Amino acid sequence: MAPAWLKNPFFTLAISPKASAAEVERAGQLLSSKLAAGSEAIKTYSVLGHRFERDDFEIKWALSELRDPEKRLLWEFLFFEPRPPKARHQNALDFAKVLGF
Amino acid sequence: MEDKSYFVGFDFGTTNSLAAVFNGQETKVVPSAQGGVLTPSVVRISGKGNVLVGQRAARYLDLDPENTHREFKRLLGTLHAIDFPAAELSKSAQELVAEVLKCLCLDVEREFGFSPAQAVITVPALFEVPQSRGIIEAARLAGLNKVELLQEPVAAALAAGWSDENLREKWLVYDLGGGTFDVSLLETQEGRLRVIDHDGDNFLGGRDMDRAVLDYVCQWLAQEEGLHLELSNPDHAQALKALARAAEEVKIELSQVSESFLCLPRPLTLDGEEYLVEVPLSQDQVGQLVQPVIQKTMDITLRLLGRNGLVTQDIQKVVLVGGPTRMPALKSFLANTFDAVADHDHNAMTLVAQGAALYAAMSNLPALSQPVTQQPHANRLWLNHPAMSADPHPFVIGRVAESLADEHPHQVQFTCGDWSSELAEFDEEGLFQVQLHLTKRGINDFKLRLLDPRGKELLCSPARITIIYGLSLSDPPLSRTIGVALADGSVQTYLERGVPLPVKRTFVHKSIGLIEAGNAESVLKIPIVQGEFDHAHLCRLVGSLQIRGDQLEENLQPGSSLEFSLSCDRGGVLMASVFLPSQNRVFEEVAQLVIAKADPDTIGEMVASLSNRIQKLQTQAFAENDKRNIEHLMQSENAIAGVLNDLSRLRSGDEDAGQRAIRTLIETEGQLFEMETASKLTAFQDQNELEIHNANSWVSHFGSLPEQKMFQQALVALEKAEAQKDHAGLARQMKIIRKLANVSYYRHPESWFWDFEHLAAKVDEATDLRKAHDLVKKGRLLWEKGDLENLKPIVNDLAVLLPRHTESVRSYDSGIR
Repeated sequence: MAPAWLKNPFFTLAISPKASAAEVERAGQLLSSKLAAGSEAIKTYSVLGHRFERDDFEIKWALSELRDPEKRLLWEFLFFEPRPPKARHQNALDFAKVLGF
Repeated sequence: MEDKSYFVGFDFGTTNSLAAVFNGQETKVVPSAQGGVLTPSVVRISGKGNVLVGQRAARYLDLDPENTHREFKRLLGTLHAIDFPAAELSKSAQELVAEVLKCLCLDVEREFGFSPAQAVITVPALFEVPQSRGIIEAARLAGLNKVELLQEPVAAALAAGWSDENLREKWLVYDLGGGTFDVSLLETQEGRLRVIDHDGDNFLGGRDMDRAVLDYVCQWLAQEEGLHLELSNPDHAQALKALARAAEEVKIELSQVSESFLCLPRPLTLDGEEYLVEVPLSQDQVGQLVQPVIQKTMDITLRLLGRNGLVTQDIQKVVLVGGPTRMPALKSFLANTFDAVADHDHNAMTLVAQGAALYAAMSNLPALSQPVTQQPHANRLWLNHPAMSADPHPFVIGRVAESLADEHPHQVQFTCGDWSSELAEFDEEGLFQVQLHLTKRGINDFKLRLLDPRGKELLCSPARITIIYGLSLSDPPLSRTIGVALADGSVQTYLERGVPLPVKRTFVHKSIGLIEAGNAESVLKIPIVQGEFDHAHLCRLVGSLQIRGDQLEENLQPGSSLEFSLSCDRGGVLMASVFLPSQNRVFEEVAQLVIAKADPDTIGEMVASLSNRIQKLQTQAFAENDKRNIEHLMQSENAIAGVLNDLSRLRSGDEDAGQRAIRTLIETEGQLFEMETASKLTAFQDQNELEIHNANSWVSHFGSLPEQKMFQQALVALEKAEAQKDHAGLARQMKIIRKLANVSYYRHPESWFWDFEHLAAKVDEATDLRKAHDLVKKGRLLWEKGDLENLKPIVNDLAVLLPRHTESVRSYDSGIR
């Protein structure tokens, strides 16, 4: 399994943390529709070389996290461009362990 | 009219059921064959095996009560068999619900010309998992291919406000039905209707009001007529049933008139004597009799508001649902409590079914699963788009399902009036994607153009789509926490209360014992529990997934990894699966998804045990002058009195009362447990002090700056929890402190060596001695070389082999940790 600490609903929905509420909804609707259409390309996505699965539950999870204003703030804070420096990466791993992941 | 334009919703109620259909513009309640709107949830089976449902069956409730049954909704999910002696049959609650649903489907067919294959069915918000499964099974038996479940208060709110615009309001949906009470807090924002929270009671409704009236009537008959009816006497059961029905009728009548009589069509025959029953009652009297029920609903409502930091003045709209909400006593109580005027524009009896039909449209669940009437000689397209959208720019995704010979679809375009979309091409997966523009609230009709590479228009089917621009619904929240019982009696929470549905979580566990391949008696159980406690025995067992030895090709060793997934859909239907990586096998069967039968002896024992504990806690509370606990214990005593009442009813055959008794006992035990552990706070604090001191040492020396900051915050939160005597809060903070200490501990270069020594000293207690000794031998060699990296997996393997503390009874025989 890919490390849980890398998971972020912005990655799941393939949108920027600056996306508006309407853009978040639209992204969710688009991905759900493509899944229903049988698109293979969107069933997985990659973060730092780790593959994550994207199914209907994952999309619903991402939408529900970003619809809640407090949770969205936390995810914006935790979002990072997928190329962090090595030293910070190690600390982030430890920090994630503390958070219970 | 195209079949696909119709969306069907069913409201299956404890007392009455109905269907509604949404045609894209308005909802219409479906009339029953008798011309009314409501279909009583009553089923009769005659000696010849003929099944009657609804109004026709209700006529036999007095004439032939043994073969005519009602109020079986709450028995969904149980194995309780309902007898029809004339036909020599027994039916489950699922089968009877299926008969009612079949009747509603026939009504739809008679009115609209089609029998629905797909529909939305509403359920109480606090319906338990087995009950939701029961409704799904009933729908399948009724011939419905696909159903979605929707909580009743959400359906009501949707029907009350789907076409409203630009609202930022907080609504309360107060749904008091025949057998259940649901209260939900919702808000509307940015075109979305969102459920914030809900609460309720699966065993509180109009039925309890009827009982209150019945109890008064029995007292009156005893005093005025010398007629003594006893709940626990099976010979009086029929008489009590007839009186209960009459109590319901007069209660309903007294919503309209100020005075009336409770009377029976025939004299009561009891112990050889005949009694003519005519009991005078007034609207005010009934209002007073039902006050305890109304107060209970208000306590639950205030609890919901308090939990969300709200007071009654914060509510802008109250939506009333259910027949009992028409009672003057209830209406005036609510009017005095809330500033918001209860919404009188809607019919409290039909709102839920109408909301269900709207939700079917939102969920893209048309009544018929087959596509629209197809044009012959046309390229067939498969399309996916929302039927209803709050977003004015939704996407349509599609592909060509079947193209005509010599025709090559290349581009797609949508038009609506003066507006046209861009020309979209098919991608490498054969899909196209077009963004639409919804111009007006209500129906937006789009024409589809399919073009070949030369721009020539081709015939396609469907040639049009419709999207309704209106309020949409955010995902409903899970009403109760669902988790898995672990072998030590604790609960691993999977799906937290309040999490939006649908939701899925996966965790990795380890098995405890050996499961022998080929041996059906060798079973690994993974119990699934529902409730808010950390201790499994205080939660309600709602199902279990079992892996039997005869399903395995090789032994499942102790300490094997299991990836367990629990998912819950919008309607609260739970699915479980477990993946065994060592054998590359998936198990998806969830066994025993039923509610256990209520046993009078078990209930009696539980009552005795809890009464004993209440007495001890009362002695302590009075000695300490703890007013809070004294009050809570009084409430527990009242709850036990209610249970004894239900026990009497259970002994006369009321299974429903038995389930309610069990539920009350579990809740009461949970409250007593909290009080008992709170009183042990001092001992708990002493024990933790040493642990905190050690943790502080590790984190100070080896923790990173963010971890040290987090540790300080946890200490502050711990102090606050101690001051508030918040046991759950204490446990939460200690968990964080332990995790922080752990991470820091394992940064010490010798920590793994210390762990190895600790485990090696206990090697003779291992479940597999040979393997354990082998690991210790390898471990010692690695230690001498100072090879830390290779020692780590040895330590992990050794830990798995050493026995853990297990609590078989309190963990529902869980086989995992």
